[in-house]
Amino acid sequence: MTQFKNIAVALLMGLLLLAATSCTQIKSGPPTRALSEQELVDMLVGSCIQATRGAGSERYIQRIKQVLAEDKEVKLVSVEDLPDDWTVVSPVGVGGGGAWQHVRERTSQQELPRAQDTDLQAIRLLSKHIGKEFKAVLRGEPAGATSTALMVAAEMDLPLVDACPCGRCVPEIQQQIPWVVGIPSTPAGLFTRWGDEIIITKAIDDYRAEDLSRAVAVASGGGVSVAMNPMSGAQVKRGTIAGNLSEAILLGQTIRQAREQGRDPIKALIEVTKGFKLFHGVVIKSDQRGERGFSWADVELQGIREYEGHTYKVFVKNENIVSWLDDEVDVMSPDYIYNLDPQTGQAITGGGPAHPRWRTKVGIEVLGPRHFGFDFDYVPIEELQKKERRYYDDGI
Amino acid sequence: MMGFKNILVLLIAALSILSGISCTQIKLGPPTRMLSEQEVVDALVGSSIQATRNSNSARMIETARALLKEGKKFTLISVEDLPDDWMVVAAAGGVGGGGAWEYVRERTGQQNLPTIRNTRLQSAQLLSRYLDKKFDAVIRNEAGQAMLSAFQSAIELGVPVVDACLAGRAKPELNLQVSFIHGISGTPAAMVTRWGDEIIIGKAVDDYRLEDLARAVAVASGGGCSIARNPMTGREVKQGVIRGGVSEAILLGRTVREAKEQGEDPIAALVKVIKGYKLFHGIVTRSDERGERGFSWVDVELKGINEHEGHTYKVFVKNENIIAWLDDQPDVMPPDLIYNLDPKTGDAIRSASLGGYPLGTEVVIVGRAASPIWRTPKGIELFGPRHFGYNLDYVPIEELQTKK
Repeated sequence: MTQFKNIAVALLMGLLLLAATSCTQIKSGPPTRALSEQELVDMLVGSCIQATRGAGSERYIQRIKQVLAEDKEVKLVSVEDLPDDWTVVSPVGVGGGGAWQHVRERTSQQELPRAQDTDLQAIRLLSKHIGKEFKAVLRGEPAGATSTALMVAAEMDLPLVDACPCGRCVPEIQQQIPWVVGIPSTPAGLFTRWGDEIIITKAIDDYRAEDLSRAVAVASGGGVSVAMNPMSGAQVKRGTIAGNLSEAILLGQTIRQAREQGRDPIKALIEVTKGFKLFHGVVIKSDQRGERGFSWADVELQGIREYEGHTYKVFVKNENIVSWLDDEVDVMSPDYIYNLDPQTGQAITGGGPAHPRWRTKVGIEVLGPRHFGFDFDYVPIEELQKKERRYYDDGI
Repeated sequence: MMGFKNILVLLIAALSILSGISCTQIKLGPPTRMLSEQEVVDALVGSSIQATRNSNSARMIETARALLKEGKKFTLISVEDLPDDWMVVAAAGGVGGGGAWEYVRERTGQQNLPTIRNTRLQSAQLLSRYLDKKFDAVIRNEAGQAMLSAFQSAIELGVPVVDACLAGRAKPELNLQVSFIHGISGTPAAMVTRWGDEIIIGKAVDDYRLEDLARAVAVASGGGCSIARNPMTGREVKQGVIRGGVSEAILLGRTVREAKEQGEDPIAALVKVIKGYKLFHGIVTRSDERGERGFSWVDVELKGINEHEGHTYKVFVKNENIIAWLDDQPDVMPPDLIYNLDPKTGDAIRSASLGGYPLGTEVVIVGRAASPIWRTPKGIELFGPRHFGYNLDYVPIEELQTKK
């Protein structure tokens, strides 16, 4: 009888231990990895390379260093480890080039106070609307949106998903893999600089999500914080580019180490990205205009060194979209056109193939040259670069 | 003993009858009034007159008659009778988007996106779901087409229309409403686009921002969008509206109708009833229209006839008539009212475009003092000449007309 009692006690203790262990496991969630300061800096630099447009990482690096100094951390969770039932969110800023002037004038006359933490507020608004708590942050795109995602993740103590809905910066909301595979970016929560709260509860397609968010930005002083892509972990697995933040770290690390070792960072980068050095030149024209929520630019470069005597043109809709070498089409969206300007003030243009998910039929429909009004079919960068008129130097 | 029993039975019977009556009263709710067909027609014509721009009464009347034929009831509740805890909604609004984004039109055309029916009702339902409240009555946000829309929403929701108006006229911007003067917010608001997109403006920091946001959605949605807004309690309605707005519409419609029936001048009859001014009689010689930033902007010029021979009249239109000049002297300033009427019928003129004046049309311009609430400092700040970019201090129409 006593023995039986003892066994029972032992059994109970064992059960308790098991329960405690499983509780801890539930609490700790999937494995995450805290990023070092160096990794974060590399990620932000790499993310500005991924941007396919001008972007400066200094400000973003300063911000994250401040956050780290406050003893906060940024953790990364891989797409494989992301639980299917988690809900993630992307905090992004939607720009409003050509903002309504009368709104700017009136609000400044009114001295309307600015709202704080609009990114977090947009997330709270969306969370409240869908009645779910977000468990992880998915960056909306490289550059500024990555910085925002880092800040939000640190602030809310949520892990960052090692993925990206687009792998590059894109001018329009529907230009992301989720939409290519049929996952909507809505519902979305929008929070303006003055504290107006807007919810797009339903957009019939992501083109309309784009129209509506853009309109709000144009009517709100030229930008608005948007929380979108409330996707489940299962949807993230299906509808994003996995490992894209690791790639940003790799790119940042590549050019840093090349510089440290006195090697050419551009060359190192091109090796890593399996890309192409397309041009080296000086900017001689950049006609910019803000209109209908976008920044449009026609850029012209005059070649130097091995490109002496050649010209390069880039059509920009927020991001580099199509480029021409001596008036011959050189790269087409969705392939990536990087304009890199580390120290010299001379623009160096490089390019790389888009992620395979972008090169699908729908991907090209959403982000290909015809979407931007060009009357030609998409030709992959590898094919365009095969042509004889290449001027490869430095053995690239 | 028998007597006592009888008394008891009688008492019980009386009590049950009493309780029956009170039950019926509870069921009936506050008193509402069903409008006759004639009153509906008069209300629609009167609402066109109140609009301070062109309107199409005939088309509205046709729609209303079809509803009456289906047995639909047009009911009205007075502000006094409105229970304080009722929830009222302005579910009669379309937000215009003059100068709509062309690329959206082109893309949606290429996509062949189907358009959906009755976005007006859907926006009311969306707002109701968002607030998790049922609406008990509909309030007219402005004059003109919104009168018919208010009745349609009310019929579809099975509730009465409040005998009131948020503005007492039609007006180009959402923020131009007396509820804003009283500090009652126009949000939350719900919008449904022609393709079925659903947007909720949960909070706007003020009604100006509600206007900016709703207008932007309209501009990005093919040039117009349905909106349900100003969810107000009965208590707030009592505080923040122009009372009797619908009754006045009925009165104005009846006035011009009866004058015509009796062979009298409908304009003269109308001017007498509203204590207004006949300001000009002329022919439209210019109507320069452009759609921009969600609005229809029109510069109008009239050449005088009859007693106004040799004079010219100018009107600046932002969707609605805003300010007018007689021979280049300011003649009426906002928020005072400028009606452009058909001299033969006393009804508002018709035009294919919002705020437009068809060239060659004979028009009578009638002016009238705005409601006292619009003439308060806050009302003038909101709706005065400076709001529309004119470097003029507001002068009431009475003073401008005495000077003449």
